[in-house]
Amino acid sequence: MIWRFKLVLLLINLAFFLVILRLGYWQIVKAEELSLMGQKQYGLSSEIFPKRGEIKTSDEFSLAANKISYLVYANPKLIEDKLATSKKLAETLEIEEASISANLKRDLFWVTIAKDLGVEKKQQVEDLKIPGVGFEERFDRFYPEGSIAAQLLGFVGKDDLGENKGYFGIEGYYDRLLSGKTGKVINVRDAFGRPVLARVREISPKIDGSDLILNIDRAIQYLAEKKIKEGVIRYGAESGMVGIINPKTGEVIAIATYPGFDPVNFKDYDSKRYKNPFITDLYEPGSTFKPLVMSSAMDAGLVSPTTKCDICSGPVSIGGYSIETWNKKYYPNINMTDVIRHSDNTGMVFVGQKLGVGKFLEHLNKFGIGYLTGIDLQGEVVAEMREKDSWYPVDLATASFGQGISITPIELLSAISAIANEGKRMEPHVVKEIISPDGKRTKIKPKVLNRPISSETAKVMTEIMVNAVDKGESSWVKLKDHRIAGKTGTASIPIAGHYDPKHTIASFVGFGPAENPKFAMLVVFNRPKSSIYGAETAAPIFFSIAKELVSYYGIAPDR
Amino acid sequence: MKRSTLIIVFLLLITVGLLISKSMVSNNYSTSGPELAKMDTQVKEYKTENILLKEKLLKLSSLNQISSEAGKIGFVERKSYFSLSKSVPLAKR
Repeated sequence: MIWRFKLVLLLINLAFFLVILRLGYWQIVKAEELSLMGQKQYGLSSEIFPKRGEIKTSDEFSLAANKISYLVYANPKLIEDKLATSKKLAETLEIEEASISANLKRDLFWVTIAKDLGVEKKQQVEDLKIPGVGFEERFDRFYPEGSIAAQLLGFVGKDDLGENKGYFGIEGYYDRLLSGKTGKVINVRDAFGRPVLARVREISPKIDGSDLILNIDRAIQYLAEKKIKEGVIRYGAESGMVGIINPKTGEVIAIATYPGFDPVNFKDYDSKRYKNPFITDLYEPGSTFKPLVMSSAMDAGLVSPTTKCDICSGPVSIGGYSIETWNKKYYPNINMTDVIRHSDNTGMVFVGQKLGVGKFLEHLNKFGIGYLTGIDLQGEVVAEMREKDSWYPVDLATASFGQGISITPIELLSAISAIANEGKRMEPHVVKEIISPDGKRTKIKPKVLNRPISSETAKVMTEIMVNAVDKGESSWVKLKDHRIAGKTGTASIPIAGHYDPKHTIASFVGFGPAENPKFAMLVVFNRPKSSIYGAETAAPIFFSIAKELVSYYGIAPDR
Repeated sequence: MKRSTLIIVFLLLITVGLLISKSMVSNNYSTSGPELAKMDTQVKEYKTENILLKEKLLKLSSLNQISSEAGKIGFVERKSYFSLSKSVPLAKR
């Protein structure tokens, strides 16, 4: 008898084991597949799109906000008279009847009829009361200030999966923060497959994108946009740009470029316009580079403001090349203050030779030349400096006055800001604060990158630059009551192994007020036609913006 | 009456009582679903209205709009500036 009991027990255990095995197969191996099957029977899964974070200026006005748009969809299986429905929808939506009709003939439960509908259009379609036609709410970018700061903001396009994605500028750099996370829900259905309205099961919640508060001052950005556009038109330039930063904190107050593009209809523009030239265009800075080289030599103790140049009585010959001044005027025994004032190339060759390649590169590295500034915008580029061994004497000579060396405007403005900020170089930053969907604010603190020159050298260099404004070529546009430090630049443009004989890049870089700077600014015009000189094109625009800035900031006269 | 009969009657009463309570509670809450759905729809409508109003507000308060309106009512750009660069003497001997 005992063997029978044992047999029954064994069989029962075996049965249990088989049940456990099967359960394990379903719950572990096939879990995901069965879960999806269950969900399909239980309800219809759909995605909930998050609201993209807004981009706001320092006064918390939205430069890039969201507006509601609707997607019209239809369930062809619920539409009986497909031809009549196609006709009605085509008339209301003002689209081809054939495309709607083709969609409605498909053997699907869900087809897209039209996208990007405004509220009024949606209401018109709703009034048709067509069974099987529904709407999906979406958010589209809306730019209250139009195309202002378009190249700074970037735009929102679609990725490979058709989802929203930020490209260029702030939209590109902060895309993950701005996008948020798409949510997933299941609309529960009854036994007949009809949706149970009050039963929506959330699988993963949607997370809205974070808002960004910029350091950009809306009024100054507007002013800069207006002035640079005026300048490009007045001087017949191909393009123009201006960047303004707070040299003490690195806060980017404005970056304006012209021509720009309309971020809503970005597809209508040449893709070259999407890039922000202030961070992506490499150019030879010309004389605006001289303050960096001069302050490096002064900081190294190799020259002082009164040091006399003993090679400045005529053109300097180096390696078979003759280096001349821009106006062919020569000042024998000119001192360093006047080298900057007259923008004397031979004087800068003298300074470059004093520095030598080693110290020249070492100091420029400290100014961040040849490195990314770290600005929080997508697409910043840099041209790395050549190795010390590959520099010929003539390379050092030309680089001393800003030719044969390529930098971006932001690189130059960041370096010049170090002179304005008592020798401390700050990381340029566009975003001031991040506001998460739950309202938590995270401030981005100013970051000191390094100290390329001492505060004493910075003060001396500032005075030399004030002197250059007051007595140099741009003195005709200087501010009467405010001391502004600055330097003009008229740079040749390299093309196919030589320099363009007709065109230049005209620029002006400076900061003010000299004692306690509130702004550092760089104005650049590409190939101006009415005059090729920075003193006659970029300088007037620089000072016309500076005049507005001293008034806007309420800066007391210091003369 | 036997003890077992008492227990059966007691259980029956409890069952009937609970059934009546369930019916009453269900009756009370049966209309809450549509009400909840109505409230959800209302919330959604208000949210949409807020976004639409915000869009209008942003358009009206943009600098482009303000600048154009200011021009229409006669505001002109300031062409000259003045500043008090030196202290003005109150009296001279």
